[in-house]
Amino acid sequence: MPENNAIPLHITMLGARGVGKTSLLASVYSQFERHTDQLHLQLSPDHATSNELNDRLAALESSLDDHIVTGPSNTGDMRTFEFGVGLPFKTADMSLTFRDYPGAWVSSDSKAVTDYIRMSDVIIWAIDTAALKSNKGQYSESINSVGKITEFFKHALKNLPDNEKKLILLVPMKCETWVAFPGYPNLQEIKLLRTLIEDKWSNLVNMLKTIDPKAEKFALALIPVQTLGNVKYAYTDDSDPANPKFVFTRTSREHPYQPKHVEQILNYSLAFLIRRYMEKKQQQMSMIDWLVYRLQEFFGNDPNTHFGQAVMNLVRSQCRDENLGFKILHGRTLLDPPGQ
Amino acid sequence: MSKFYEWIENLIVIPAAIVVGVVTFPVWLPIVMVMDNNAKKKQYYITVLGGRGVGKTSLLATLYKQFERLPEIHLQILPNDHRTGLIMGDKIAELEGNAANKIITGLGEGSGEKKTFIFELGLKGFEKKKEMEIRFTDYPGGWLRDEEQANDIQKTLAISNVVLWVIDAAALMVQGENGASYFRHFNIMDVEGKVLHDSIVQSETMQGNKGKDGYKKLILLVPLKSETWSEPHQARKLLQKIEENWAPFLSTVRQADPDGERFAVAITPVHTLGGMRFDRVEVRSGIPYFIFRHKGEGSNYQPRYGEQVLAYSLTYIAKIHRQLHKKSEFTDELDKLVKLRLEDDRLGFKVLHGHFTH
Repeated sequence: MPENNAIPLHITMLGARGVGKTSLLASVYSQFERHTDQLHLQLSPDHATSNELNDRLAALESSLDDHIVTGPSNTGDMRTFEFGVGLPFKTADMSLTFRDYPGAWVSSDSKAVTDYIRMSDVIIWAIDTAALKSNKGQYSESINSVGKITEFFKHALKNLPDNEKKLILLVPMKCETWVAFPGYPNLQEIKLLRTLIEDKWSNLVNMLKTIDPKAEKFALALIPVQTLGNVKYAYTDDSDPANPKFVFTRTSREHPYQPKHVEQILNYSLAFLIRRYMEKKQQQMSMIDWLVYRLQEFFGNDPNTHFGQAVMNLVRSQCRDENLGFKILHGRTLLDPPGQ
Repeated sequence: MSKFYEWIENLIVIPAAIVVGVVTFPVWLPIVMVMDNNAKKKQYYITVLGGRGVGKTSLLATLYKQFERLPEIHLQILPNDHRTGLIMGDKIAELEGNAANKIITGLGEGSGEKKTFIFELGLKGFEKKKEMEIRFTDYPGGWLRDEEQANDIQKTLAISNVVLWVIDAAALMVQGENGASYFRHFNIMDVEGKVLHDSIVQSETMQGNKGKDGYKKLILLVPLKSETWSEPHQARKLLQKIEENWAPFLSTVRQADPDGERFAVAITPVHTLGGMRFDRVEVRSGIPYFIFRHKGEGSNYQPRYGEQVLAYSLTYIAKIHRQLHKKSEFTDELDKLVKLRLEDDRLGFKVLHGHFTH
């Protein structure tokens, strides 16, 4: 359970209804530890979060459907998921709060969205890739709301204090069809997808360049993920044009659930957040903390060195391969190891 | 003259010593009490961790029944109270009396209350002089889902030296239609892992516990209903599957304890169905049911390897016990258990982390 004195950090998940934000979080959690063996950092969910994620994973792993239909479906309230981050079997030093807010708010409650962007350290923007790619992107704007959300960012990031830094992750979901079908990286398709997103999101990139010309406050990265693995986009069911549904079929019955690259979301976020954590901690340090810190440093067990190592490991395990569709579009230095 | 000085000295030194002793009383008293406690410590906690319907209580009954399978050991284990004896007896009778040649396991109702089974351990015929007390705590699996009840489990885990983390072997090994896996329906491992993790964090911050015996833990991963995977290549597959799924937990243990001094982790399968093999999985309205049958002749209830869970648990507890107590006939007998432990991966046994012997 995240301790009360752990430094709180906030992550907001934006994206259309039914794009699969909660499933994404479950996949991130289940894959993260498998991919970061020597990280010396531990992610420990709180009780409600562990229950919810267990059931979500159980559902994903036991799904029998040959067809997976996505599209606006889930409604509901804002949900939060809490994780403590600390050294193995130690009290958590940081607490991560994921806010999974209802996609409908984009049209109904713009103030709330703007506020969440303002108070979050990391914003994950889940992109419905099927909507972007299918039918020449005819449904993309109504589902992905690029223009609207970019406006929210404009309002939220304006006049932020100088020490406020933010990481924005563009996460195209269910990319299997376009980046890895049939099973190996499809360089041409990946490039197409990347340039398409760079083009559609160019307003956001340009806005960041304008308000943060030195690229030291905001970072923006593109992380295409395969949320299920082994599915392929089949067709769009637009019998109800207001609510188009995207149908995927399974490509393998052997391993129905094999997400790929999802852990990168956390690698990027934590690399960024731990830097923020170390900065915040130094700001908060009292005289006594400072003395204790110096003493610990003197005796060679500086607690921060573990975090320093963790940052290095996280950066090292970051995938930045453009051939897999990854790209840092702004603020690279905020994702690099400190002091470089 | 010098006599006079000595006298004066005593007059000052003795009262001063008394004053110092009284003033520092709050400092040394707890230390002495902890030392005293450790010297007398005979009580060890073992907690069973697992979700609903996995078979936690059946496991305990199997352990109790099978202790006699360690014939070379001059030790005896007895229920400490009437109730423990009764429940164990009933459960064994239930398992043995299950004459049907088919068992269906599902998520079931599970047992509704927390149970503590207390066993006393000593040299054979020890009725008067028990040497050790083992407290098994068995929680209803459903408690893990409730935050308050999960806290209760966490507290017992924190003071336990042995955790039996039970695994439904069938749910882990069997894939349904379309490759569907029902593993997390039975092994709510994200929740179990979270509660265990928090209990370890808690036990570290517990007063007077740092680096002490109360802090050390053996975590036994115990696949139940594992008869079906007892052939060597199948047993290895089961091991591999467990290692795969528990890899994040193991890696945390190894990072927190690189020398293997604080934690030990091992896999010890138990055949709790008494010989029945997995037959098929049926899904009724989204809920999976696993069906087991007797294959071939001889449909007697014959569980296996329950004694191994005890052998592993007791050798680990013996290691802690030896640091607090003098060598005796009793500790010699405990030490003999080490040799009776199976570590053959062809049978599905494997030590994954830590030391068992001193």
